Amino acid sequence: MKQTTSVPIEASKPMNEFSFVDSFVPVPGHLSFLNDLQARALETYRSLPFPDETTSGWHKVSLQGLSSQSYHLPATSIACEPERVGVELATKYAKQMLCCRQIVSQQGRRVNVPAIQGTGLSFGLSSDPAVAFPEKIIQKIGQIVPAVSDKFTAFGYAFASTSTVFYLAEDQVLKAPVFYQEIQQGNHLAVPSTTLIYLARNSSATLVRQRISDDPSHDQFSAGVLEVHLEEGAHLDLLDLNGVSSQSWDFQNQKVILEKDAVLNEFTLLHSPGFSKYRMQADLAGKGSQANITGLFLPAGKQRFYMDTHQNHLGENTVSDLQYRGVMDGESQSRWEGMIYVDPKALRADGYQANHNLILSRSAKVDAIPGLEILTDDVRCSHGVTVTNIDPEQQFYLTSRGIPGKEGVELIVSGFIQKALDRVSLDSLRQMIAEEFISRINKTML
Amino acid sequence: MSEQEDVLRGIEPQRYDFKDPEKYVFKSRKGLDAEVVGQISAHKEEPQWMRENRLKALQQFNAMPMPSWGVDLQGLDLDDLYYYVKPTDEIQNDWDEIPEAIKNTFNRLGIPEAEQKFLAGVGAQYESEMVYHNIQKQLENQGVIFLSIEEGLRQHPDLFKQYFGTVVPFTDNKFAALNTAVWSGGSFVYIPPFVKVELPLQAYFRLNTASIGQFERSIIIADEGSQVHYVEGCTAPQYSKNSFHSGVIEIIVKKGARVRYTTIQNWSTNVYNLVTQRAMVHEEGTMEWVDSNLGSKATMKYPACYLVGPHAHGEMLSMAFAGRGQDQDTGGKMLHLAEDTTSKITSKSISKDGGRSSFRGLVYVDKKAESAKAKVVCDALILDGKSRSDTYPHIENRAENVSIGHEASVSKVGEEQLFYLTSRGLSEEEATTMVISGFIEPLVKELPMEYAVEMNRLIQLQMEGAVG
Amino acid sequence: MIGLEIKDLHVQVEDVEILHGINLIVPAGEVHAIMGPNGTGKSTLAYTLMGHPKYQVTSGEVLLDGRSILALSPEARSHAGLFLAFQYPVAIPGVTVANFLRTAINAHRKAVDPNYHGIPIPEFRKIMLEKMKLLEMDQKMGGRYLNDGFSGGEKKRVEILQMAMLEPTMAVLDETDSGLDIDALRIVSEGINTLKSNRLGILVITHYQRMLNYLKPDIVHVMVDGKIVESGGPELALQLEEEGYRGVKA
Repeated sequence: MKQTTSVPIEASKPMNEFSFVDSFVPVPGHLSFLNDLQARALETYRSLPFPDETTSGWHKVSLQGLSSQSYHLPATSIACEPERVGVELATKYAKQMLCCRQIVSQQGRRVNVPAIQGTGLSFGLSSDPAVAFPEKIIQKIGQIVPAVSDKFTAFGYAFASTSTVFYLAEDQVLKAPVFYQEIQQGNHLAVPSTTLIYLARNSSATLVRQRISDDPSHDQFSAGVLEVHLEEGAHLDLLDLNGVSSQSWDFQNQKVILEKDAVLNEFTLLHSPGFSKYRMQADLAGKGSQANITGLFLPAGKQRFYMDTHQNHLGENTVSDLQYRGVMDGESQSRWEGMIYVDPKALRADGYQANHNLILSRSAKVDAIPGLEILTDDVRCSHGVTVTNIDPEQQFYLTSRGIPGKEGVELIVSGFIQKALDRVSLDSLRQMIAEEFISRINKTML
Repeated sequence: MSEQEDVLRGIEPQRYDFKDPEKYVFKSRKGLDAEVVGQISAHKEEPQWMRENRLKALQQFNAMPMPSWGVDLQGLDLDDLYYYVKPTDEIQNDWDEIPEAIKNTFNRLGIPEAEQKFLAGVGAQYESEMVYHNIQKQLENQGVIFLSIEEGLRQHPDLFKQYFGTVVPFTDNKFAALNTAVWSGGSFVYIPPFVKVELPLQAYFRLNTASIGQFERSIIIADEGSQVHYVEGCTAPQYSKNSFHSGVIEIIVKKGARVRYTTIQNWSTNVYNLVTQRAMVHEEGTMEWVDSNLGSKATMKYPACYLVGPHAHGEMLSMAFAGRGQDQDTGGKMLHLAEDTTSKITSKSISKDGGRSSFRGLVYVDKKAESAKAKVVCDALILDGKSRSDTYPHIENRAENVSIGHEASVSKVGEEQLFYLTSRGLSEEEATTMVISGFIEPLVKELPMEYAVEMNRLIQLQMEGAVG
Repeated sequence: MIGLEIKDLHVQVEDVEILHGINLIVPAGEVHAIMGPNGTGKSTLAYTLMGHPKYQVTSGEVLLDGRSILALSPEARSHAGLFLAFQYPVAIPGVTVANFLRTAINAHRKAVDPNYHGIPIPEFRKIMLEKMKLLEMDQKMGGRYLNDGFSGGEKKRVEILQMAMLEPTMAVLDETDSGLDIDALRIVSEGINTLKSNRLGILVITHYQRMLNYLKPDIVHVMVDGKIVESGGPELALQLEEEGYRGVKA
């Protein structure tokens, strides 16, 4: 009669500390604020345990198999190559894209800066004395996502030694999208990273960030922070394409603060890492701010994706609309946990979250945990979740029109994915994602 | 339904809020230890295995931590409770044999009258013990067993032992362990194969003493192809000190059987209500929970269906009303453990005057549960800016061929709806009440007529004075 | 005077003035029509009369049977005898038409007599079925949820059913003809005609002549840009039907 229903928890061994931690000594840069930040983060990192089942936000996330002993850090040296680089992908889909690149390897970091004179955009590394960011911008680093969030967040601040910064000045409107590629080079590389995107009042930009491994067989570890601040009336279209290798472990913590009437359109594609822990938070702090958040995750094989999203309505008349779509194949595991929080002060908030999952394999595991915490009455909040497999009626209809089974499934899956792509506003970028990523993934999946 | 409203005119809050002078045959000292558990067992003259089982469960209870989630249990002092209060020496099947004061209590609650009118059987519990248990003769002749849980153990020891603790083992959670240690009262129900009990069986639970814990335990076994509807109602007078109710209900739905379990929980707002209710549903069986929580200070309750046989179906209708100082943490769990199983959870919650209602749900689809279908719909209404509504559904899927859908929304009563209704002459309060009764209508229409009327009436009472 | 008097009514919606001084008298026993192009403020007038909070009266006066109603809540206006048949009635899911009507009737009667105990069910059913028959409605309608999933025609019939049951003294019909096919238009119009009496004033808001063919208004008003620009006999409606609003002085 007795039924065992709880999923057995794997007995996990305590994680070993990364081998470079004890001997790590920060090299002070020219900005004392950042030196202090790094020193504190290093202390925080050393004091925090590795997260386990009981850590808030890490329920059911197992770190088993993460061989921390095998990774080494990049050197702290930086190089800047101020000439324009063409990123093949970007130039193929849009003319006049502003392309920039950062290569992280054992030798250090090398940055290519696009020709940005006259655009109002500043881009570079915070530790580079040649790039002068306004001081108030530099002081935002580490203030949006605090290092104490968890050990992997602290990792980014403690070991990165520099931050990548995008700053767009007041009233500047970037007509061309910025394509920023971050390449992780070398086997067993540990990549700490912190990135700040700051858009001043009424500025507007489209930014594509692609993170890739130099070789799909390389085992890399990356732990990073993405901080975004949108001042009053700023408008950011952000496409975040996570393409690190299937041998890699990837930890990312992102937060966006929106001031009055700011708008965020974010699209996140998560397809290649072997392990991904991704946290996204949008704080709709200013009256009338708005966040449209789209996620497309396509786990297959033995990939494990853990995503948690937070839509925090803190100001009046704020609007959030989140849609996460997943297609799961193989023995993959994925877990999405979403929360809409409405503060008592956030009158007339309008929040929505949806999570749709299409399962292609009987060995795939999927958990969906939407959530609402509503502390005022003058709101409209809802969520919807579906978990389905390929509808035989749809498939039958397609075969009756002469489309064979496998093609029919591909068609249905691409239709399912299209619903997420439809939310990318720029045609060229939508086309790029569809052709360069989705079609390839679709072929390997099916 | 509206025709019935006149009949039930007179259900006022004071109908529940009256106290009898305390009179009892035995009352354990405050607090809980092996001695108190031994006293309960001795009073019940039960077999050795049960006594040992209680003591094992007590150890488990002591070893387990308090839940770290859900409602605030700070105000629940487990050492400041009477765990066993025995009101009479014997259980009766004739109201006239029951001590006058207790009989009057149930008369005032309308139980004997209801029994005559529309119930197939009635059990009535006062403090820790069932004082009355009776079933229609013709059902008894068909082999239907409807006894107090103690009589069940005495008269049907083998059947009892076969099922006790199999659906809710005492290791399940801290309060299931507590209940197993100190259980007293509740019903033992067995419906023989293919017997359909048309009218509901009702159990009525009443707390009178302050600072009391009530720990009823019920087992319902619906044998192949049978059918039964069991209703529980709960009330208590208002005291300044907190009381505690922690029941465990185990239900076995055998092949093709159908069980409906309806709760109308209207405890006074000094009662902590932490309940474990679970059904094991076999092939082609159907289990329906209809759960309405209006009263109590804090409730944690998530009735569950373990769908263990192919084509088993689970259904959950949950309604919660959280008013001033109330925390209703309710929901439901559907575990799909066999192929072609289906389930549906419908939840409606209302928060007002600073009350907090939380929906917590779980849909788990096991690898074995091919072609499972599950649906969850939660709607919440918040009536003012001080109140709070939370929704925490969990969906865990391990199967390929499934269909799971979940929808939830939180809103306030629409201004356009209120304007429309007030333009027809309704006051704002009447209009709000009307929108709310429409909101919970999908649940109320599943209740037997008499309860539906009572429910609407209770909602109206809760709403009185709700609008400035 | 008995009936509706509107004096120099100015109304704003979200700080924009929509009605710029409406003057109108609808005495009891008369049928008046307001015609005018889209977006001219006709529905604004209807909502304002009923007291929708979105519509702010900045100046002017509205009297019902000589008594000012502008300070009254919508329900008090209803109790006073005012009725609005909505152009787009909202749905109240889960509440049956019958339950709603009974509650409304009781509210009206309680407004007169606070000790009123509620209309007995048989009496209520009798009246409801009678009125439904008048409007050629299916009895089952009483058990359906109010306006929930109703067709356009069903919604309008239920509006008039409410009017029949609440027995107002002043009824404002906001585009009750829209969304009705020819048969439904006839049934609804004839239903309204049976309610006509020397106690009841009716103000019909419409774009078209077709409903007026049945209701036979005594006076037709033309409203353009938030003002009544012309008033005349029934022939004015016919003229508008032929020539459109261009011929009307703006």
